[in-house]
Amino acid sequence: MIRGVLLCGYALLFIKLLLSGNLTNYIVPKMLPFIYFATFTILLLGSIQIWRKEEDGCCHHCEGGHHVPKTVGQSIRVYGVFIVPLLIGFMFSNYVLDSALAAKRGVQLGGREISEENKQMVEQFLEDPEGYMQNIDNQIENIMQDEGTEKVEKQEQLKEDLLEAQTVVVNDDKYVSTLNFINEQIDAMIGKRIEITGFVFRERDFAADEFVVARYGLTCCVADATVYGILVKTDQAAKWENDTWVKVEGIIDETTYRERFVPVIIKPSVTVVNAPDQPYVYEY
Amino acid sequence: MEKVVGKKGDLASLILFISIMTLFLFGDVLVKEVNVPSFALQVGTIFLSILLEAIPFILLGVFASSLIQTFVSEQMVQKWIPKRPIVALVPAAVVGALLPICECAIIPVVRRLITKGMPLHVGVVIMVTAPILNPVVFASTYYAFSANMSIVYGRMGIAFVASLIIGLIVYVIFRNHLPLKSIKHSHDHHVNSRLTATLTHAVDEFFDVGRYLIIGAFVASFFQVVIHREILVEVGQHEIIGPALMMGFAYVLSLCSEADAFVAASFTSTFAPASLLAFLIYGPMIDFKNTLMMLAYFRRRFVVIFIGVVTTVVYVCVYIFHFIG
Repeated sequence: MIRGVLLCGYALLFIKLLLSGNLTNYIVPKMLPFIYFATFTILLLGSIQIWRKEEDGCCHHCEGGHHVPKTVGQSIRVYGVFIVPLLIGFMFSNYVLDSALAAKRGVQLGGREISEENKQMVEQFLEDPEGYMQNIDNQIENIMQDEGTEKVEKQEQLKEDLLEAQTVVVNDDKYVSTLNFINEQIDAMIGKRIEITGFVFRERDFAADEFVVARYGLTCCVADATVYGILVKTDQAAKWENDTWVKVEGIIDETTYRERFVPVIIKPSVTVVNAPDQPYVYEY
Repeated sequence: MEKVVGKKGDLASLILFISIMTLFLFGDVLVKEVNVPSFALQVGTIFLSILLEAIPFILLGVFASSLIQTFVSEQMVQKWIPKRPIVALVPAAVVGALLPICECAIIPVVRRLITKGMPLHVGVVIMVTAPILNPVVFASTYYAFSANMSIVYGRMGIAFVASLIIGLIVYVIFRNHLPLKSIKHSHDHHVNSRLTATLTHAVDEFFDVGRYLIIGAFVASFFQVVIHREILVEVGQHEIIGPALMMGFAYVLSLCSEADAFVAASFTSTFAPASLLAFLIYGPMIDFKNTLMMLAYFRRRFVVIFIGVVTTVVYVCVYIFHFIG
């Protein structure tokens, strides 16, 4: 009986999260079919459990197999843990990860080693921009030939669009791949305009004129949330506190951070915006 | 439920039901006033997200396990498995590779197959290969490490080799023991239909394994929030400590094998490839969450030895790979 009620409780929790849209605060939308499946089965199993009780409970002779608790005290010990997730889910489901956790996870700024090879690439680009671009196109074509899958093609399309674009608009659905691309092809991207939305975050060792526009990227659930972002440099940085949602427009450049080259947005215009409906990005 | 509990049990259920309904309707209104520290909220959120993600797959695993219990006979299992124990390892790894199941779902299935007469070492090989050598995991590793294919192939290759070695060692140690918690099987519910039997089993198993899952998920989420990743960076490049550290990290994080590649990718700049591989291979085979789930099914002694074997084999394999590669 208690089992039946607990199962129904879980089904209700799933239903509430689905209805309120808060489910995506925990797991990525592509998992939804599994959640529907789970909701349906748990509800079914729960109903059967409650109904089964009428038939004089069938399971006491499963000796050694499963332990059905015999007293109320035992029941509380056994089923108590099942109540905790229900409490959390019913009461705190609108919590969204903020910069406090980002500080522990560290933000992915990308970047590359400051090495001879990189300097050569920069020089190469400065001397002969067209030849360099040709080179990159060839590389992309090679990758294209290797991989014919749809997803890869989409990525290549994105790359070409970004190389041609004057203004790079970082959309939620291509957030991570756009930032990755800016990283990989920083030489081609320097000087382009960029538009990006995210929350403000600072590592402890940031200078006073630096902050990061960042988003949490989820692959399966919040447990694997990773912070992706891009550095912003402005004299006015102090105006925006951590966790403020901002839209930043500026120019892509490169700077050094922790002895690496990282992309940076310079001469930014920053506007404070409302937190988006989907604070996380779900790209993969 | 039990007669012993009788009326009290019904009363408790009723109270529980009423409280759940109250929470369902007014849960978030109730806490508007309360000020919960953000640390607790972070732990709670990650905890629940691990659970929400695992529950559908555990249900699937539990169902598969009950179906096996009800419909597959011992004779069928024995007919399928090669007679020579060592020869059986390779097909087991292939079966593991074909099943697109993650670590939560595979444990109930494997333990059920073992009770049906599948040799332990064969079951173990399926258990450690299924979460890694699997199309979905390959795809996510590929997207996370497309710039570094040696990680992608290294992960799959080493996992395959390591699983065979693990199976072999388990065979040598546990040749004649069955370390399951309950081998006795008196499951002849004089139930009218096989469907009811299947569902009943599924619920029992869901609650057996759920308890351990909840505790495991809670501890894992606690570590998730406490560990400051900068600390890891300090020793990240060390070639002996690095892999060991990343294995410990994978253990406490208890990530799903479909997602861990992206977390590993976030360490690319600070950790050597060998460390990343150790993280990617060890995590799906064993972590905190599935250690507790295994404890629900297997004897403690087996779980301890199994963890020891997997840890050693993965570490040694990654180390050798580091020198060859």
